[in-house]
Amino acid sequence: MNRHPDAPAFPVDDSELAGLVDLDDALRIEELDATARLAALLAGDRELTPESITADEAFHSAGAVRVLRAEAARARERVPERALVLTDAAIAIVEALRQYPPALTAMLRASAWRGRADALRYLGRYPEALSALDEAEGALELVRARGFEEALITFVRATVLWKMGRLDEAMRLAQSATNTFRDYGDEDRVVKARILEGAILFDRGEYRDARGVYASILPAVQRMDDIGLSGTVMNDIGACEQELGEHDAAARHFARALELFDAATMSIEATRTRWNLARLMLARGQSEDAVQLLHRVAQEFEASASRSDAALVLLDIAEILVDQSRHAESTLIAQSLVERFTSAGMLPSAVTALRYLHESMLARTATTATIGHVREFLASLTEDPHRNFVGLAS
Amino acid sequence: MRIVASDSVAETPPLLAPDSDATASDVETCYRDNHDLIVFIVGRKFKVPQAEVENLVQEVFLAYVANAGRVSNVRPWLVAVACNAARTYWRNHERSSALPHHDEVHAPHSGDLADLYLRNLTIRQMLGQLGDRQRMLLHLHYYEGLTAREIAERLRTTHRYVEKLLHGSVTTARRIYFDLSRPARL
Repeated sequence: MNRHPDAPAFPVDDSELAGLVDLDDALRIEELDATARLAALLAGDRELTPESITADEAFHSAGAVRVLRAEAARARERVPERALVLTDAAIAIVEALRQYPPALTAMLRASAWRGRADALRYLGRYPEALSALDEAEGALELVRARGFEEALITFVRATVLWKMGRLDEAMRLAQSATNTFRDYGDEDRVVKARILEGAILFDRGEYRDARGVYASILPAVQRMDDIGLSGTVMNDIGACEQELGEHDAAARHFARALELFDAATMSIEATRTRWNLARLMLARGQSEDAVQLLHRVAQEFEASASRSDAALVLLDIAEILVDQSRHAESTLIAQSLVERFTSAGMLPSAVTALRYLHESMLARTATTATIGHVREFLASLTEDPHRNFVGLAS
Repeated sequence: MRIVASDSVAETPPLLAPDSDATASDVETCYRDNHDLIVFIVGRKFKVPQAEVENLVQEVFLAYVANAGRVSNVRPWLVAVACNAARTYWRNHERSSALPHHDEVHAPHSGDLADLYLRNLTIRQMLGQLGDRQRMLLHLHYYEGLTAREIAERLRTTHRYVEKLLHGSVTTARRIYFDLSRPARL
């Protein structure tokens, strides 16, 4: 038979194919086993540590590493400490794997380190997150088919840099990730990378461009059939319009976001959108309505143990009251904050900042600038918990 | 204020894959449907040498298995991985430099020039039979004098992994060298 000049030199090799199918089957079986064991571990009374996982030899498999990574990804936002434990166990396990193709082991190693970086990001430990991403990249050095995993690492690195305020670097990497995901035909990840671009633009104060990015991805988001994600994008568009002074449009988008978050039972996100709505009310001169809604928002944050967010909301209320010269009420709020933060064992520097505010209010010297200064300090503690508070120069 | 969108929408890999029968046919279907295309891309478009084409193609499909469940658009994904793998191959190939003569290697023979020439020729032949990665590691360790830890820092991996690779590379190199040095049977 004459061979077509474009026919590949290597036809399908059934033995190679069988090897891949066998490997895939083995990974699935390992995942099923590891899933059951991990569920038992999480439901048990023992403290979850990397050692409590790696002590069980049944976890010493590639499938188990994937299960640990998946569970860490699920846990990272709500329980980032648990995510860190899971990824540290995954890293330890992957180092001991010998029975798999080296390229697969390398990709799993990179994924485990990337998971560690993600957990550290949620814990606010950004320099360590960047180091973990360096390890992830290093793990891929000898893997030639590494483009996809590299793009995932780039995306996480962009997110970390964004959180650190290194916005130009973050944008460059976010755009790189967007382009790569587009090359891979991965519309879902293109959307997520574009959302990050929008967030960076927002933090740069480029609200019109940010809104443009969010609006451009709405059709794709709606195709994804993820109502929580749709709610997030709606909220972000509303936030841009709020900054642009387009209050009616912002209110419509916030209202739509609330509907979607409620449908998705994403209560924390719904609370944050209500926070945005309260600020919108204030911008429209509806201060009493704003204060009432802010009290509700603070209670919802308290109920979900988001104490630092609750404190920031109460500071918003205090600011409104100070602006209206309602000193007795604002002083009570400041006192309440000092008591709550002290009893909750919050950072001493945060308590110092709130005491400073309380004393300023007692002395009737507090202004909206004072409150803004304290708010900025409390918000900064997420990135730099060792920062010391310094009052405003009198 | 925004909800931090990218925080809440980051990647969540699936915990459980589809049932094993469906997955096995996914891998097999993916392989059969796309193998020829990937071979074409790697071998014809990127002109990767024949000896490396199948290795790269296997690595591409291994990446698919590694990412099973996360690939939403299979063919473009595989094509992108293949293109990236081929480009990486060429980047690595251009970076690997020719190794110098190891004239300080001690041979089991005398030190005269003929023996030295033969020894160096054997070493060159031996090195030619090693893979790119093995040659690079031996070069970094024996010619540049880097420790495993230093190599690990340069390659941004763990020193334990480098030690394992070095050990394997030296073992292979030694075996090839002595095989080449063995007198031919008459």
